[in-house]
Amino acid sequence: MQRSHAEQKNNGKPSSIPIASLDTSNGEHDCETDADYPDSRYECAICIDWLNEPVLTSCGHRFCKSCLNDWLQNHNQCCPLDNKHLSTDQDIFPDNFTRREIEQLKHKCPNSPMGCSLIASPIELNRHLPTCPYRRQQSEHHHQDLEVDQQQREKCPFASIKCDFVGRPETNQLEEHLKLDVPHHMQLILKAFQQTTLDSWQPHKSNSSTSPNPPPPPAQYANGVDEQIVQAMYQRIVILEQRAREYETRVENLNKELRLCRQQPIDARYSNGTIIWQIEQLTPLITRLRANANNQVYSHECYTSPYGYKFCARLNIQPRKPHVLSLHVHLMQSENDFHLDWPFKGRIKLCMVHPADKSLSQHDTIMTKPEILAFHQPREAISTRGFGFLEYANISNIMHLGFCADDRLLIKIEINIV
Amino acid sequence: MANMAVSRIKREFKEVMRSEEIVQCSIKIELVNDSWTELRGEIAGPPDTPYEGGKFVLEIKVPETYPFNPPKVRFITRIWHPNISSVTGAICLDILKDNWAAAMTLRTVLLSLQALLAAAEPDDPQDAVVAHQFKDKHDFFLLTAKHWTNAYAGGPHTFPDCDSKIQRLKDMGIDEHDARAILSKENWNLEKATECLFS
Repeated sequence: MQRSHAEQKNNGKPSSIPIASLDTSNGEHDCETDADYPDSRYECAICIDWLNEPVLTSCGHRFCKSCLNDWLQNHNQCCPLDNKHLSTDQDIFPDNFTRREIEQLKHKCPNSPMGCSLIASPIELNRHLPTCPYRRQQSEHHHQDLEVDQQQREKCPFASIKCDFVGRPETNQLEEHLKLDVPHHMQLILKAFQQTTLDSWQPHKSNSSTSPNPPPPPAQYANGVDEQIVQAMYQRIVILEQRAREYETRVENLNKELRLCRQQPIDARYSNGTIIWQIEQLTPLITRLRANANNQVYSHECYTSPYGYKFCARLNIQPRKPHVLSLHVHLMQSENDFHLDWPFKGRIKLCMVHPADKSLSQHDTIMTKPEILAFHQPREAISTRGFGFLEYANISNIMHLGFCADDRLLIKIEINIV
Repeated sequence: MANMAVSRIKREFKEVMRSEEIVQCSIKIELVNDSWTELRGEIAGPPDTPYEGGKFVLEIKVPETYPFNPPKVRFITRIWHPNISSVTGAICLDILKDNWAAAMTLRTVLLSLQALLAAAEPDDPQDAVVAHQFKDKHDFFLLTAKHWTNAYAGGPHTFPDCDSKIQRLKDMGIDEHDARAILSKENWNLEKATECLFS
């Protein structure tokens, strides 16, 4: 039997055959070391692996139960090792002795160098390996292939300034190293920095050697005090650059905010009692207003002064007079009401602006009267009583006289205290 | 590919890599693709045979049902042997057919093939022409096998007589390999070979 011969080789020193050439993508079974190769007593000749649920044949050979079953199902009923006839019923027995022997073997998980602490029987390990949290995903390699191993380890980011630390990618070794070795890294940085400044000093020196006042030679530069100054300056530059960048971002953000503010309409508080009411899409609006007497449309609000009265205007169509628009001005509750004089006294100018010809614009002026309830202090957000015209403008006139270019009507309302 | 087949082939691969034979350069094995389904084997011609000094390359295809079914093996290197087709490289060897056993490995297959080169079975031939020559004109068989080993497997023995006869046929527009095959078949009788070719 040639197997036993091979086993001895396996247990011997690993040969120098370059196994790196066997590189493949899937490496669960490939992390095994020589110790993972079963002793020939415990090896199934079919799967060449540890006997799993071993069975013994009448001709004295051991196989995994499932391996032998597969073999006997696929082939004539012969032992794979000596071709003796095997009857499934009579010639195959569970080999519990060997099963226990294998169960008593305790091996470390092949991923123990990466930190897996599991110690179990080979069979359990085989089951554990595909799900071992420390398993290597990328490529297979043997532990003796140190060179390959080194490349696969994680290098310290400070490697370029001669930190020679490498860590296992599966562990947090690198993280720990970065935390703990800060002083070492600082030293390396300082060394590298000195090297760079010294190196970069050279051309400057040769350039200025012709000038009447030669700069201090490198030897002088190398003395501790100057070095400290350069270092301090360097740090300062870094800080200032950082700050400049922060400011840039801030200015940019403020600019953005400003642009946004400009796009928003003027605060009603500073409207000075003027409402410029652009009514877009007039035709559909009229249809809507006609459909229901309760449908009305309000303008945006205005204040007569920053601390003055608050107004808005309202458009609707009376059901009895579907051909005319009504326009009313309403007082609104505001934070100023408590200190203002009531009822409101003033003049309200209404103007329906003709977009093409100013002389055609329709002007109306209303003077307040103290007995009109609409000018008393409002008790609701928008006073329920308004003052204006039930028949403000004939709709067909608006259309015919050209007030409504692009289906847009402009009404200007000026409210002044008298 | 079935999991069992892959894991077994991987293990076998290592077995071959660590075997004594590889140190002696007597057998070799390498991957053709990443899926472990196809491999390339190489065996050295055994000493004291006409194949001595030659390296014979084998195509090994591993079926999904491996190891319950044998690997499919054939010679890529042309060889003159009663149990190997001189045309296709197909091998007649019982363990690669009915007598396969799951306990056999790539290593044992390669070693068995090496043994087959050393001990031909002319009574169970794959190539009837070669088997015939082996039995009836053994001297010609040895000559031809050595010549083929030299021509295709890098063997050490050269036969200027054979080469000149092949050259004669080549001058007539015959492909070198066809010329060699027909001359080998006709026991290096140039007239018969020509007759056979142009009749």
